[in-house]
Amino acid sequence: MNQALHEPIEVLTKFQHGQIVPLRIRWNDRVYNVEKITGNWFHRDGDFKEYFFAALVTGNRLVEIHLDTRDMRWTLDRIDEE
Amino acid sequence: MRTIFHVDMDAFFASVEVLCNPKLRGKPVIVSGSPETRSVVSSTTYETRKFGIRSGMSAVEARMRCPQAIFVEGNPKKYLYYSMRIQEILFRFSPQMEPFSIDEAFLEVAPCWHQAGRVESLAFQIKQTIKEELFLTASVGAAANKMMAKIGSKMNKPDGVTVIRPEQTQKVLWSLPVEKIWGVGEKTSKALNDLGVVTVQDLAQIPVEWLIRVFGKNGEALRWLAQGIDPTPVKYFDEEEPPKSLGHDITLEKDSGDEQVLLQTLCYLADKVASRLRREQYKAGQLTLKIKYSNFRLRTSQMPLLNYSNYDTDFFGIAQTLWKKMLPLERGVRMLGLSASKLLPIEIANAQQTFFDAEEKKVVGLCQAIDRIRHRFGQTAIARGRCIE
Repeated sequence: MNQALHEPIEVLTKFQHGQIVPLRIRWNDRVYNVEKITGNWFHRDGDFKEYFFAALVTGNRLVEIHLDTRDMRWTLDRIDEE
Repeated sequence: MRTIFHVDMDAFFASVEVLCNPKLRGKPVIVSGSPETRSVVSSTTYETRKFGIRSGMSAVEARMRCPQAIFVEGNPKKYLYYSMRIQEILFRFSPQMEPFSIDEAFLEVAPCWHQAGRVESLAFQIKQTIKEELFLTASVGAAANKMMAKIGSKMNKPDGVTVIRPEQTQKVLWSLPVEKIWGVGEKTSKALNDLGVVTVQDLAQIPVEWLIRVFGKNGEALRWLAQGIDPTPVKYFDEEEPPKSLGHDITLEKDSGDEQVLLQTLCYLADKVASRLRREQYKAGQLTLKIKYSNFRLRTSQMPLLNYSNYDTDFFGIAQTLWKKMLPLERGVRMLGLSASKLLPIEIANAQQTFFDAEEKKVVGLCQAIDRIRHRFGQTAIARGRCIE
C-alpha cells in the first residue's frame, strides 16, 4: 500500500501562527493539493530540525513529507500507490 | 492512601499510524520493521488480535496468520514525538509523572479516595484530554499503588477506565494468575506453577520463610506484592535515576556468517554505545555481547573492562575479544547486540583511574571532536571508516 521513496519535491508552504503548513506538492511533474494534514511531528538532530507531515492530497492519496532545516529541502518519504 | 494512575496507550504505534493515515481505520494494521528485513511485529490494531497476532511475533508468521493485514514500517521519530505530547498532557495533571515506556506512564496525585467519584472523574479526564488533543485512546488504571494501577489499566482495554479501590485490592489481585505480579517472569512463574502455586492467592498463603528459601531476597518482595502492597514511589518527571546499563541491538538484513559484515556491525554498535555513554556522561566497567542465531538461539558473553571507559576503540577491542570467544559460529547470525553495564558517572570513574597516558589523551581528544560534530550536525554526520561498508 505504501511506497517508500525519499525523493526531493517542491512544496508550496504558508507560515501561520508560527507553524509551517504545506499547501501544494509538486512531484514527478504533477501537482497535488494538500486536502488535509493528518499528522505532524518533528525530530531534532544536532542543531537541525526535520519537520514531518502526513497529509491527504489530491486523489485521496496519503503522503508523508519532511522539511530538513540542514538544507531547507523537502523530501517525499512515502506515498500511497494509486 | 496514595492515589496512582497508570496510563497505557492502546496499540500505540498502530494507532499513531491510523491517525496519520485515516484510510487504515477499521483495518488490520501491523507495524513492523522494514519490509526488506526479517522484522518482528511491534504493534497491531485490535482488528488483528482475533488472528492471534501479538507483539514480538515474526512478521512472516503474522502474515501467514492474517494475509489481509496491512504492514506499515515503524517510524520511531513519529512515535517519540507523540509520546512526548502525551507526557506533556499528563504533566499538567501532576508533576509526579513517571514515563514507564514510550506508551505508558504513572501519575500520582494528592490522595483523594475519600472524595466520592473524584478518582473516577480524574481518570476519565486524563483519558478524555489525550483523546481530544491527540485523537488517540488510552486505558487508565487507578489504584493505591503502582502495581495495582498497572493491573487495572490492562483490565478494560481499549479506551477503558478501571478503578481498584484500596478495599478491593485483595479481591481483584487474588483471583489473578501469579505471572500478573511484578517481577514474576517466565522462570519464576514456572517454578511457582511446578509447586502448585497458580493464583496470587496461592502465593499469598505461602509462609514468607519458605519463599525466601526458594527465591532469595526476591521471596520477601513477592510476598508483599501478593498481599497487594507495593511501596515503589512514582518519580517526579525531572527526577533522574542512573541507568544500570546501556545497549543497542541490530537485526541484520539477512542471516550472515560473513566475518567482515559482522565485525563492521560490531564496530557500529561499539561506536553507538560509547557515543551514547559520553552523551549521558557515564563510563562503563563491563561489556556484554549478544548473538542471536537464525534459529533464535541467544548466546551472550561478557567481560569486565580494565579501566572504566566510554571510548569506541576500547569497546570495539573488547567486543572483538568476546566475538572470538564465541567462535565458531553455530549458524548464520540474525542479530548482534552490545551493552555496557557497571556504569559510573564520568567524574567518579575518572577519579578511580590512576593516570591518563598520552595515547588515551589522543583518544579523548578525538572522541570530543566527534561528539562536537555530532552535536552540531547530527548523529550520522561522522563515523569511523571501518564501520562503513
